[in-house]
Amino acid sequence: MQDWKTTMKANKTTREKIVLAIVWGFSLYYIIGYLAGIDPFPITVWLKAIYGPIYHTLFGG
Amino acid sequence: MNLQVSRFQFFSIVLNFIIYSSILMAPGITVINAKQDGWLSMLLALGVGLAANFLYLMLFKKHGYPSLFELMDRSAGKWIGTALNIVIVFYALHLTAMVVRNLSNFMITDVSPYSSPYIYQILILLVVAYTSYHGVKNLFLISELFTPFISLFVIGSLIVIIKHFKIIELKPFFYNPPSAILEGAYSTLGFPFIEIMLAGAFLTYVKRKDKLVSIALSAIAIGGAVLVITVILVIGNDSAYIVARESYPTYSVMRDVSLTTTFKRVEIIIGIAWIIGLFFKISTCFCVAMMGIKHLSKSKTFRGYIVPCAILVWAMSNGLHKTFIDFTNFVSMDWTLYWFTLYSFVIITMLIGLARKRA
Repeated sequence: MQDWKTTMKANKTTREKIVLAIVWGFSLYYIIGYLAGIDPFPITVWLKAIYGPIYHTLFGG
Repeated sequence: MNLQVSRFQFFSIVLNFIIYSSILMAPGITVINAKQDGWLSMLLALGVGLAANFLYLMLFKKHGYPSLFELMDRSAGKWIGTALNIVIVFYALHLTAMVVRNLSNFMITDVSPYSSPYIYQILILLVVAYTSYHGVKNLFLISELFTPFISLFVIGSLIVIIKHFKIIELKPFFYNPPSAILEGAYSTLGFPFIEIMLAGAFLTYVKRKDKLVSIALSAIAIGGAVLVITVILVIGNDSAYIVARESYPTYSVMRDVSLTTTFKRVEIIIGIAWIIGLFFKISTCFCVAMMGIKHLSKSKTFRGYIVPCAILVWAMSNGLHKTFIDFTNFVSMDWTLYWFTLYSFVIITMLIGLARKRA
């Protein structure tokens, strides 16, 4: 079992390690922010700011 | 290539994606703007959605059905292609989170009020993560198995509500101005007719690719037709005035139906179909995100990314919108433009890829 784990770790390329670190890092950053009651990545606010005016131009009020 | 899916399996995934995203919410979203002409909005959204997907699929065909992520790399070059792939992965995760939130909203407002949304979110994500762990093929096999059953549930549900259908509720036709019908169509265009572009990531795995465009378009057309019929029946049962005030009007209409003295509260039939259908949608989006990350990392498997992404989806499903009203407003006002942006970028990239191929 130990050998299998060691082999799997050794087989990971640098690129894989970087992507995995980014995915874990962003997930942890987001969940810690959410649990702390802050918006860690306010994508909804940004999207509303971008598309809200376009929507109102197209359809009014 | 180890992964191969049949044309029926692909058809079933597209059909489930289209029907179950919208069957409970679409009547409400269209009727808010178009009143009793909500079904015309749905019909218009279906027409525009079919045209948009025809262009998307034809471009895929011209490129020889490669993987979506590979296509972006090949067409836009290494750096812009990678940036586009990151954006597609984010869109897929965002959509996954929104559908998970939609499911938990439904459970705590209509099925089991006062329960915690976290229970439903965590349970569905566990099933989705388990399915993804066993690979994309597993998702297609489950879809092939369940589609006939959930389709029967939907057909049965629609048949039982015909009993109280009144055509007068739909009249006068074209009573509302064209702008109101357009606004209703706008809201349902992105959700689900443009979102379905994510299923393009699976085109490369379909074993027999002849008539693949027709198969994908017929799944969209059949799914869209079911949605149009649902909107007609729901308005004809409850009137546009009531439908516009409901969060999940299809479910509410079913609640008023009692088949016999033994079979009452049959609305759960469509509720079960919707939950299973949403499982397919969530799994589809999640698998597309996983495939994108696998492509970006050049890994042999995406299993290592399932847990962090499932955690992220859970947090996003709760963190993106504080209230149900905010969620609904965002979906009806900004969602279509948001997805249309991705659609435009992907189409432009595909056209650039074609031009580069010919040069």
